[in-house]
Amino acid sequence: MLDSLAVITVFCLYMGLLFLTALWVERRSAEGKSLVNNPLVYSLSLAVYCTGWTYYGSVGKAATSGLLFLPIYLGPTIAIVLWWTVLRKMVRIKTTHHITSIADFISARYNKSQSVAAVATLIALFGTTPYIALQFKAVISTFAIVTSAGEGTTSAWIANHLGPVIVALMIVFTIILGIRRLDPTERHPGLIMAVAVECLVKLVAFLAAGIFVTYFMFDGFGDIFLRIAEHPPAVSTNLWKQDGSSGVVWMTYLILAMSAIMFLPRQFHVTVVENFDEKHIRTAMWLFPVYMVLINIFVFPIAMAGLLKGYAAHQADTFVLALPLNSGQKWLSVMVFLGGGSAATGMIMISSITVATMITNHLLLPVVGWFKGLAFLRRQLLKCRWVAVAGVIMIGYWFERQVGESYMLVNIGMIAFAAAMQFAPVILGGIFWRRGNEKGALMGLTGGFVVWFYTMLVPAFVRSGWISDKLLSNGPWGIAILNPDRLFGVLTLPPLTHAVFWSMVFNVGLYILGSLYFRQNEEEQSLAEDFVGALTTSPTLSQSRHRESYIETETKRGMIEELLGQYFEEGESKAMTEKCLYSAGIEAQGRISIVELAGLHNEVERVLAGSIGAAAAHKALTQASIFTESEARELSEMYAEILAGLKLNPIELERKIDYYQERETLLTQHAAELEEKVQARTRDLEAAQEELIKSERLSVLGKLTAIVSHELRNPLGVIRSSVFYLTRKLDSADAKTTKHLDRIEQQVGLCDSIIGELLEYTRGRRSTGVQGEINPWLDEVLDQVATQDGALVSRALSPLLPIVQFDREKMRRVIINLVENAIQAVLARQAAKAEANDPYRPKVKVTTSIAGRGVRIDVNDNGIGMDEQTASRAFEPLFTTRARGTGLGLAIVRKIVEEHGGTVTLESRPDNGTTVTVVIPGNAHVEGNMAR
Amino acid sequence: MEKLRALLRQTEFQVLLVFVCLVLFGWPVVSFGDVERLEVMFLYLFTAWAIVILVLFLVCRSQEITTQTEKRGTEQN
Repeated sequence: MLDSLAVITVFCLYMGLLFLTALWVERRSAEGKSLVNNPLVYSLSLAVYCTGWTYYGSVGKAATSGLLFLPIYLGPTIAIVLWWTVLRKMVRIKTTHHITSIADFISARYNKSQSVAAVATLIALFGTTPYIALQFKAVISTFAIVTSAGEGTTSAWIANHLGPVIVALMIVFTIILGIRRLDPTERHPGLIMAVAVECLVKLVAFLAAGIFVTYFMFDGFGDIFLRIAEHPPAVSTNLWKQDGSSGVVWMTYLILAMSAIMFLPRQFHVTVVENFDEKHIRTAMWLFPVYMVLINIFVFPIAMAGLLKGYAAHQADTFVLALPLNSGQKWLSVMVFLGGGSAATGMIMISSITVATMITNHLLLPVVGWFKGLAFLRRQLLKCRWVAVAGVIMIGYWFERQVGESYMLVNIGMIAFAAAMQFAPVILGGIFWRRGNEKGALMGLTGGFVVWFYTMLVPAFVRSGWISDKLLSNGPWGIAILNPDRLFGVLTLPPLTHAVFWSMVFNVGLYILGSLYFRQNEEEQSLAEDFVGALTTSPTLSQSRHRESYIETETKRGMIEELLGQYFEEGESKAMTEKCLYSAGIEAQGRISIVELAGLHNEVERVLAGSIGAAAAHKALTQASIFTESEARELSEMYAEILAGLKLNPIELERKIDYYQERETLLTQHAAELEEKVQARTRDLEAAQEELIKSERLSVLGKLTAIVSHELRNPLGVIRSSVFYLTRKLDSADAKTTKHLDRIEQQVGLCDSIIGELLEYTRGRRSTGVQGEINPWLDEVLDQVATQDGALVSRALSPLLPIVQFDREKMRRVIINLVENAIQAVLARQAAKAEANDPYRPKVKVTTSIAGRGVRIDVNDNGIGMDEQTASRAFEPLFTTRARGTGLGLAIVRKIVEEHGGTVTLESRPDNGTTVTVVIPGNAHVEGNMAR
Repeated sequence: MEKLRALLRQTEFQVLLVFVCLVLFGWPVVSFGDVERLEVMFLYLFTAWAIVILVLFLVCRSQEITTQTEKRGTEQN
């Protein structure tokens, strides 16, 4: 035995730990890192199905009825096979319609009927509250087994007041774990994590107890089965007797459990409402059955072990705790107690929250709507929910006190399962049968509930001794066919099967009859379409009703014109209205959808804001009531659906919108940068294109020049030969004749040189670049020039120039062209100065220097210079200011230098001289074959 | 393998599996009250249960692979 205070302290510490876990999970969820959005947590949370009743009661059932405990877990496994079709559809509907509970789901399908929701809430309340009582029974009775307390101590006080203490703890924990605040999505990530942890704890505890009993108290499964076969416990021969009804009861359990796994209000909550992602269903479909196998594998051995150890069969509910405790395993017993406590508290928390939500939403709020004096309660919804949770838990405890050890207690579990089954026809019909309607659902639910109450609860009350047994022996008012145990004279069915059978007959029959007899209205048809086609329609497409065009454009046009007319002239306001309609893309539409109306509204506000400011425009639009009440509601619903579809709370949505706005800004910047790059590339391409055109032109010009030159040089050669012949023949020619012959020869030479330059520029010749020093080569070239034109050219060559690669012959042409230009410039200025009798000293200077890894050559003169316009065109082919120039000298210079990968620049001022700078790079790359 | 996956992911196969489960776990295949047959029945029920879970796992896996393949196909398109 353990001390009461110690056990209650451990229990409180355990619940505190769960609370901290829940708090941590909620904070992480608020940061957008949901730990509950996980298939493992989802699968574990489904194990809230295994309550205290199954934790302790399964062993009791196994001891008294053999394997009859198993269909409670085999049934769910069978139902789960269809989850990918059925549950996935329900989850998708939940997301689309923002469903918060099973009553809400049924109501949403059947014309959003408050009556249907209220009946569903009553069924849930009647089915759940006794079930909560069973959990209290499990906790209180097991607490009494594991604890002992001395008289007059705190432990004794706790033991005597355990019920109220547990009730108070449960109310507090349920509120702080689950409903500290209102969540529009009705999701409770913290609570679900706490439940998942509890489910893990109860599994581990039960397995620990099972392993201890099976392998430490006995020698395994084989040993236990062998001993039973050799010495059957007395109970086995008395209670396990086979009769005709066994199969029927087994099948009834199986079918009830198949529906319970989805339609018990708490199961609906964890499987549908708390589902984060429909993909989690896939994992749960095999993981949850594995959980059920594990938690059941030791049930039968523990039950048999208890019987073999001589425990009474009526104590079998506590075998799982009593066997380790009486074997001296105190800590294992505490662990088992915590496991049982987890099973019970998990169920109580989820069930009470679910039922409280339904009570406030579907019972309280409609009542508040009827009585204006209660309108203040709308603002106190959270507190109302707290009161509802406390009420449900306290009623559960009160019920536990009332039922004691009566018949009612033993059968509460299956009574609750049968109540949950009343939801099955309207839900399954609602998602697979389009014609199911509000009236049918109301009739079916009410009929099924009344018959369930009459054939299941009333006999239980009679057998518990709360109602006279004459009702069961004679029927009400002596009418035998209305006997709740043998309704309409059916005698062959066991009580549970009898009640399930008749309640289902009435439920399904009235649902179908009502649905066939009454007609659906338009909205109901649309809802039925949404529900039945939930899997075939994508979430986006399911919102198509919002895209239906039913709003008269003319009406809205008139309203907008009237609004704008308050600020602008009539013609202007009409024009602006047209512009807004055009901008919204609806100028030619007779009818528009709510989405398009929202677009038009924004457009008008934008236009108006440009004139009267954003705030005034917003106010004006609000006052103009462009949206009717129903349109505003539809728009609001659409936003709510989008929000629900995104699975985000408003804070997360806001954060994501901020993120996307920032992203849009970045994208805009990138787009601008890209635009700049495109423009730069375009400029480069245009330049390249110009270059290409130019080279094509030069190519054509080159071919033409080659032909013309060839044709001209032949006659020039003939002329030159003839002149030579005449000079030889006419030895005694007079001076005048000789002068003319010399002039002919000079002009022929000039023509030949022009042709040579033209050919040089347009065709060039193959380059033959070699590595070498510039200075010796330049000295040699300048010496030749000096010899031809006098000692006018000075030089200043830098001694430490890098070796560069260049075509000596071509670069010689460059230097000669530049120096000749310079000489002509200084000679021209000298002549001008001489005429004016101004002193002048002509100067041409060639210098070399280092330019990075290359060489720079400057040719400087103090000649006549050029004006700005002439200087800018100096390198253009065929541009010259001299009477006898070809205009190709500098063009040839630039062409050759560029072939070397170098640059040539010119600086000049009139009457101040010119400097031409040539730079040959160190890694000189000469086009053509030069570098190869 | 693809044929097996195609079979498993069909809704009709899942409906068939429900009926198979009802036969496996339902009356009259499961018998009651006979103490001598308890061990056999216990073994049978848990083995059949494990097999059904294995098939369920394969069904879920086939759905998962199909979804992934469809997703990849959509991305490539």
